[in-house]
Amino acid sequence: MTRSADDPIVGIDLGTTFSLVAVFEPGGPRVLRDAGGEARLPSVVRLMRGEGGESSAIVGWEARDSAVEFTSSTVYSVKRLLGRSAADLKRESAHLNYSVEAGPRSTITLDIGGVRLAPEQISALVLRKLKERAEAELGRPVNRAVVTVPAYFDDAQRQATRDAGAAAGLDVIRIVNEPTAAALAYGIGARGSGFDVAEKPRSGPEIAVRRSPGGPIQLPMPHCNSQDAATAGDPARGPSETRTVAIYDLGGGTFDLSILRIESGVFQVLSTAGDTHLGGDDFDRAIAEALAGEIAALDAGFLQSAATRQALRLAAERAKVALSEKPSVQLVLDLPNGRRFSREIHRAEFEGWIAPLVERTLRLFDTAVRDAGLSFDALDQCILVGGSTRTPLVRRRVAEHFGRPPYTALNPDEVVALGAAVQAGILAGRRDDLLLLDVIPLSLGIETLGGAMGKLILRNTTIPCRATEMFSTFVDGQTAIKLRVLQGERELAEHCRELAIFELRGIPPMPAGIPKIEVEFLVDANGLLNVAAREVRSGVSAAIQVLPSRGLTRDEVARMMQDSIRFAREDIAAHRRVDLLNQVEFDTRKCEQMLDRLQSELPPDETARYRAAITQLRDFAASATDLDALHRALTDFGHSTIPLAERGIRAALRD
Amino acid sequence: MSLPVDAVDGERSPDNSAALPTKCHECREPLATPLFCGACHALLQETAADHFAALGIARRYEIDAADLRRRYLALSREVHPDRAAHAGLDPAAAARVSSRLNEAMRVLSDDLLRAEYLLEICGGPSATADKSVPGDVLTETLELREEIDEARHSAGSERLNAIRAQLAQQHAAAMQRVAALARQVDQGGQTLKSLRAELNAIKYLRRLREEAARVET
Repeated sequence: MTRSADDPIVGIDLGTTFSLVAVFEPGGPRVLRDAGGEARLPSVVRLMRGEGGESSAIVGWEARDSAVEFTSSTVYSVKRLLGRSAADLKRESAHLNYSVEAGPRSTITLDIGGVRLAPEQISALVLRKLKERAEAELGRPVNRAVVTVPAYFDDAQRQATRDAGAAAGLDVIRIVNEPTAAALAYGIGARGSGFDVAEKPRSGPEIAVRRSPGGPIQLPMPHCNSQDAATAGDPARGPSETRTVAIYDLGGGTFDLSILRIESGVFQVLSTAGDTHLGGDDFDRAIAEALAGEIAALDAGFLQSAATRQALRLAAERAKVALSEKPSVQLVLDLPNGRRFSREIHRAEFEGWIAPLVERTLRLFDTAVRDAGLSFDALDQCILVGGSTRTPLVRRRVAEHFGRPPYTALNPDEVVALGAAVQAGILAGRRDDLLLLDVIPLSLGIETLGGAMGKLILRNTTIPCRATEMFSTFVDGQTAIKLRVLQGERELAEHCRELAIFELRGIPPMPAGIPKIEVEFLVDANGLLNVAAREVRSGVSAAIQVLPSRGLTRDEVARMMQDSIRFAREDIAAHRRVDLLNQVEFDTRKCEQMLDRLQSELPPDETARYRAAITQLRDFAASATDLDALHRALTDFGHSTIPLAERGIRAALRD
Repeated sequence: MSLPVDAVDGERSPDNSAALPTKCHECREPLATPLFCGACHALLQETAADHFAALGIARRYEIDAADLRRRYLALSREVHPDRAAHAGLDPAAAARVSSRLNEAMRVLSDDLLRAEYLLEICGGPSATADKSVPGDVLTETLELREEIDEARHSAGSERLNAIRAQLAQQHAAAMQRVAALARQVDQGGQTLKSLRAELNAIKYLRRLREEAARVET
């Protein structure tokens, strides 16, 4: 306790468009504001390259306000890229104003005016800014944080969030799901400041509302039962009333719907559903796309100008915000050819453009309710969270779908950060009456023979959770086994997300099929996967080498901590080369062992074909300069030897 | 917070946790669960405990759902990794015990999973060892599958809704038979094989219901 007083834990809402930081104080959670009284920090970063090649960054309002002027060096909505693979980006890259390329292990590298950065590093700059704000406010160093993520974030996206924290010098001691954090804030009666103004739309960057600094939030104590002396003054230990609530969280870039049961201070998530690519950004895009044809009639080449695209995006966002209050709004855009586009947009028109997006959220609402094993009647409340729930169509459709008006009294911008601060309070031991029980949003499994997804942990299982599975070898003396870990609901491995390839090494050499390797998959309270393995007969713990399919290696994170801006692509390339060459050596040797073992039953021409493939791959690897090509060659080799591996397994089973 | 220790005594069926400790080997306080001690927070890592013992209830199909939930929440409060630092627990060990409780709760709070689990720990046949189903379930399943196929090709949603309602009804009836047989197991009855057959039948029904749900109308 004394330690926690000296070593604060902050709660951070790392959002797609805005980020906030809050702290837990004896009176309850409090959002920290900048000098102008604004709690929200735009998650926008402008990068600059100095004379000597060193880089610096501007984060927040200034970067946002000058986004049109510095189109090519300004990064926004980077959360959409966090933990995503290059392949995921096809759909996204058309909307980005900076170039994105595939980095090592399917990661993404941004090229911002010659500065090359991972998305984690951009997020780290935002986190560092919030860390500095908290340090200035608290007057002492801040090194630990609870950071929120969309509930529907997968393992790689969660890991990337933690890495971003590390790169900012923050130990992310807990990752909490945004809707769960909102429920926590709601449950203890925190609403966030200024909910009286929450109904009003925020203005655009030029006329940003900067409220005067707010004092500590007064927490109402709605669950405090004054008749029960033992629980007086302690809101969550009030009457053991059980409530079931839905959190409808539509943010800048993501949508989550979580169903929770709140019972005597325990917040248990029953189910969650969502879409990590659905949010207010998409409303802006819907406006921009709907108007593109009309704008092109005035200036056919307007899309070629990145600055105009950026200006259109911002004008669309302002129009969206204004339409929450007014029945119509005038959108004005200066075009590269000197002409001016001016167009009145009516709310009904706007609602027509975004209706398909809103309907998508309602279908996910249905999924979550069904997965919780409930009906809509069983829900006591539907709570709106996230800035995009200010859109009247969203409120109207949710009310119609839910059958009652939703709860809108929370400040949708601040409530997630407040919840993160409450969780920080729990972890610091200041609220031992509260407990969060969250779930894993997507099933976890491994690839089984034939490319199927073998689920080990089902979605919506309460975390922490654990599953074990037995594996064995299929070649004599085999000392390593490779497992492909997947996340998703589809039946085929190729349709799921590959999280990592785990290699179990150090298995004592034994005849094929004899070793019994128990692999344990443990999902911790952050929703992050940990794997352990042990050979049951010998009791030897197999060493595990984790090859994350996406995301950063530990070394990369460590380096970012030292220097979050400088970026050494050569290092990573060298690292990747070593990994690939090791893999070539391992795979070809394993194949040779199998050929030796199956010598008697394999047709000579087939043996010769495999031997030729081995030689070819080794020769290619020895001289390869293009690492992507080497990766492809390795994958092709793996595919071509599947029949051999299957034969090996059959032989092992037969013997 | 005190853990619900008292109610356990005398309720455990003799086959349940006879070999399991009832007192903490560290501090000799009575245990609410063989997994850890609520008094001194020793993590006992009792691998022999079944899900019923883990949550401190008798090994029976018939359960008091509210009591089960109360126990689960009380135990989770003590051993959840979020509490580990303050209770002086090793976080990794706490995560392990917590995941044991979560798994026990997942299985025991679901009527079907609980029946299946009871069958397993009572030494009943597994689904792979005994694939039998009661009476005419197989022929009925075939007929229903054909009807779903027909409904898929004909336009009317009325027929399909009727099939869905019929399947839901059959499922409810099968669950009642499962419950009746499982209660007989509670009473020491030799109904494990019939229970296996009914559980197998439910698997068929569930697959049919999924198929019927997938048909677009």
